[in-house]
Amino acid sequence: MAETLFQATRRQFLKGGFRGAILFLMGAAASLVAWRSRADKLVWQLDPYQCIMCTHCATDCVLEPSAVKCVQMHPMCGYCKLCTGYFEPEPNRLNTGAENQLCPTGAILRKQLEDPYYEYTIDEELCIGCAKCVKGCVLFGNGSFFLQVRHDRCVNCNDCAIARVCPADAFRRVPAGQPYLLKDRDRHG
Amino acid sequence: MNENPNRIPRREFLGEKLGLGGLAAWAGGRVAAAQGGGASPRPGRVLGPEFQYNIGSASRTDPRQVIYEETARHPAGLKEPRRIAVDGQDRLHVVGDRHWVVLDRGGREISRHELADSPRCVAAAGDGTIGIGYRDRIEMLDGAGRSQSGWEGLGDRAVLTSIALTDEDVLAADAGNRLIWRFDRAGKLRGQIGKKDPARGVPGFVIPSPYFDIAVTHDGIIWAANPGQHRVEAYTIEGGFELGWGEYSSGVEGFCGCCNPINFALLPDGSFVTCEKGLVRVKVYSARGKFQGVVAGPEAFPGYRDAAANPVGLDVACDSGGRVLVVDPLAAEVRVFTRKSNG
Amino acid sequence: MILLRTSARLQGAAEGSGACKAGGSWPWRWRGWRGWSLVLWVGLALAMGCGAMGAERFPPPEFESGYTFPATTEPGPRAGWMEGIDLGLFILALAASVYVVYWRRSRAWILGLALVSLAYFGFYRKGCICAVGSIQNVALALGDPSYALPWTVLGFFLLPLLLALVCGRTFCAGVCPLGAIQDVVLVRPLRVKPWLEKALGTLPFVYLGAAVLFAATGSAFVICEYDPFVSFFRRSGTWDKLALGAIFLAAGIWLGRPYCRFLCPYGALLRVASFFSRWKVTLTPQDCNQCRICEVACPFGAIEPPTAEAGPGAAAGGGRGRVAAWVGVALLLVLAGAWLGWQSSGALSRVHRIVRLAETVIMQETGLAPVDTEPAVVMPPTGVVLRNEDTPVLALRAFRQGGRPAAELVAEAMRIQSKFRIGGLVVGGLVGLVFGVQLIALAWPPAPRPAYDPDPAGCVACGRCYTYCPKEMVRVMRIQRKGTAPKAPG
Repeated sequence: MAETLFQATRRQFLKGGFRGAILFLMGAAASLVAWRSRADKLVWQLDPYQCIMCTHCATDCVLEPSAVKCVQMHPMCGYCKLCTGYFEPEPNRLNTGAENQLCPTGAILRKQLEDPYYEYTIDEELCIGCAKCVKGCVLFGNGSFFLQVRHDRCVNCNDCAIARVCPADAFRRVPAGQPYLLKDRDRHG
Repeated sequence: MNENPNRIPRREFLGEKLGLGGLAAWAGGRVAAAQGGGASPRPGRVLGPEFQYNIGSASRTDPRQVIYEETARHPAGLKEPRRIAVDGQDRLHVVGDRHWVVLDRGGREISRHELADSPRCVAAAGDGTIGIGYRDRIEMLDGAGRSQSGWEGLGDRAVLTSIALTDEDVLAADAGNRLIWRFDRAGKLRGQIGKKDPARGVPGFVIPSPYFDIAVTHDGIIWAANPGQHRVEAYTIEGGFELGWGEYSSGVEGFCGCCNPINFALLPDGSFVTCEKGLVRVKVYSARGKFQGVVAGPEAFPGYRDAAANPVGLDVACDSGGRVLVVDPLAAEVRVFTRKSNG
Repeated sequence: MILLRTSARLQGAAEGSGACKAGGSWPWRWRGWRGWSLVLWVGLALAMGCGAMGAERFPPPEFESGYTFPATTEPGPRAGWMEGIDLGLFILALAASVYVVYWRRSRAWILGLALVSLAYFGFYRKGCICAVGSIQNVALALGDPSYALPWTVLGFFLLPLLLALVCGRTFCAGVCPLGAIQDVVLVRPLRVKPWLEKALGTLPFVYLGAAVLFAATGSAFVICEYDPFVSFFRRSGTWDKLALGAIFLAAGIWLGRPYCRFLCPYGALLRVASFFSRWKVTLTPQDCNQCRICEVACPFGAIEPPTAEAGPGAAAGGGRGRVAAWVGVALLLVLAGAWLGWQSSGALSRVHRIVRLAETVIMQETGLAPVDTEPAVVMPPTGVVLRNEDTPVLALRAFRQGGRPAAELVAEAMRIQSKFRIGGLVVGGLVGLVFGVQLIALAWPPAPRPAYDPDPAGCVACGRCYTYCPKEMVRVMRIQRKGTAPKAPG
């Protein structure tokens, strides 16, 4: 009986010691991390200058349709009558007929402003982020169409499924206070 | 025998450990393969062919339409040569980085001058004067590289993309303001050409991106690219609109994309050599704007096929012998094309 | 391996070849902005204002109609204070789990709390962020100085561990959504043989080691990637992940919490912390009549039989000498693990995309694989032929477009590989240590235990035994007659 008691206290003492050691280790690791930690959270965003328009954004997001959409940076746009992001490479006519449109989901809206300028905007409800228009715009035009993670949709996975497969390594974590990496921050109007 | 069910036979435990080790190694290998391979079909969604951007039939040139052949390549000794001009003695003036480099007919360097800013265009007059355009400023230099004074800045909106020189005038294409400035040789502003004016029948330049080239003929006609309209237009020195030619087509006979041609040059016989971006190609049109043939198709510029977004486009100049001199900024070379003898 | 052999050759050769493309850029300043830090961005915008910024840009057309440019909308992410609410609810749930396990001592309450947590942290928050995945964020923060860990994530990582040190794995019982989803499908628990249970119980440590190694080197977040249930929480996912989840849930009908017991890396940490916990879940040790019902009722094999009758230190095959021998074996295991980790680091490093890319680049530059022809690239170990639209080929193209010198890429890949070597050494050694400690524990004279009692390391505090123990029922009824909540005995 006496030995049992002795054993029990020794075990308790050992356990206490280990507990202290674990606490110390955790404290050390936590403080090591904590002095670099931040109050604001991080969200995912893609750098449009690194994007190679590979369609992974449309296929690999955990959401369907993807949280990545095309955006239009109007001050960069050429307002072209023949927008290569809007029209097929060989359009029959320059009108809004579906057969002339490049976008398979018809997510780009074309509106005449004044001759010869046309405004192009993205209907995010229809856009799936395939970057086909981005390719057309970047190839011939100014690249005012580009992809961005839309944070009203993104569920901010700890491990972004698109970032995992992005061939261009364009995805990175950015502070939630500045959640977009737009091509040109100069906003007119 | 087994009075304590919790006691674990050590041998069994170890055997299981070995088995588990194998299992773990297999799983690890599986993960590594899944991460590394990429060739196995992805379990994610698959997009149909309609989501693939396909530039169409014009990305390949019919070899029968190619009437020029490449005869030389001159590295200009610049990281990114941008623009080229040929003077009366057929010397090549190449600008890029922060330099102006003069090459002889054979591509040997004659002289090299450092510039105050990044040059965006260059022109050479018959008397040996050189005009170099920066973003919002013109610099006139004599043949030895001495700068003339008297030139002022053109303001925030100015983006100069081309210069042309006559005996009395200095013409500067301003892509930002969508017009051509006309100065005298001393730098005094004499007028504007090509600003949209429906009353005078001037259609106005449509310039979606900073490419806007001009050239002037011996008889004083100003030719200007109007890329947004897919046209090349002629103006008088007083600013009257004469005519324009050119049409959209991604086929070889027209100008492709949203805004082409980006640059052009006049051959000695008055016909045009044009450069396009997007579908990078150099073509010849007659003096009346009829398609003649291809100098170099997209195949000749493989660097552009895989280039990052918006690389600097080609520029072209012609010498008195009818050679076509193309600046390829991605390859950092001046590429010389001559007409095929049978072409 | 290939990387190491050819890189020296390449470093000289690649110096010139990649560099010349760096200049191919947009004529105006747009492309130049690419590398600037956000700080510089904000600073510039504030200092120069819109006018100065506009001057650098190619001016858009001047519209006669007075058209103004629509701003590109920037819908914001979920507000930062919402993250604070998540952490607050997390703390609340942890406190509630202690309450229902230690004070309320009710299976129904524990299950209720688990369902609430499943609904909020699982289905509403879609499984992100969770304590299990936060291991990787902490590992990344330790391995990569440029990654700043949000403090909410640190909270999710630390609090359950601290709690486990105090009073065991109540987090597993009532807070973890992964645990809850498995707990609710467990209807016909089968008993796993103790030796199998112990042996499979080492898997989480291997998984933990791999996850930390991959996360700290910035290669991958494998815990999140192979999380079997997150597809259910999001109610969308690829078929392979959904199938994985379905297999776990189907197995979970008979096998209690298969992920928690045999895979969960956070469970491995909790297991260690909980083993040394100050208080632990107990039944009614004073009144135990050794009916063994609790042992049968526990689906996780966590109830240990009494050792009193066997006598302390008198177990068959025990003894101090044996323990010393096993300590030697454990040391050997540590060395073997470290050696194995070192050896496999080269293969493991291929999980990092930079290493893979560098290998592809070397293959191309040394002429081992033609890239401009179809088939484009032959991958080194497997000989798999890739098509032009496959990710490694796209990555190669993106790398070429970026204009980064190949030698720089290879140097980075080699830095990553050396990280993997050191990491593999440490992680392999630690996994060996865990195996060794388990062997020692088997030889160690068991703790004197007068009654059937949950093993604190294995017990997830699910509370099933509370409802089965007849003595506990009697105790609860007696207290209920008095009108107070039942308190933990002893």
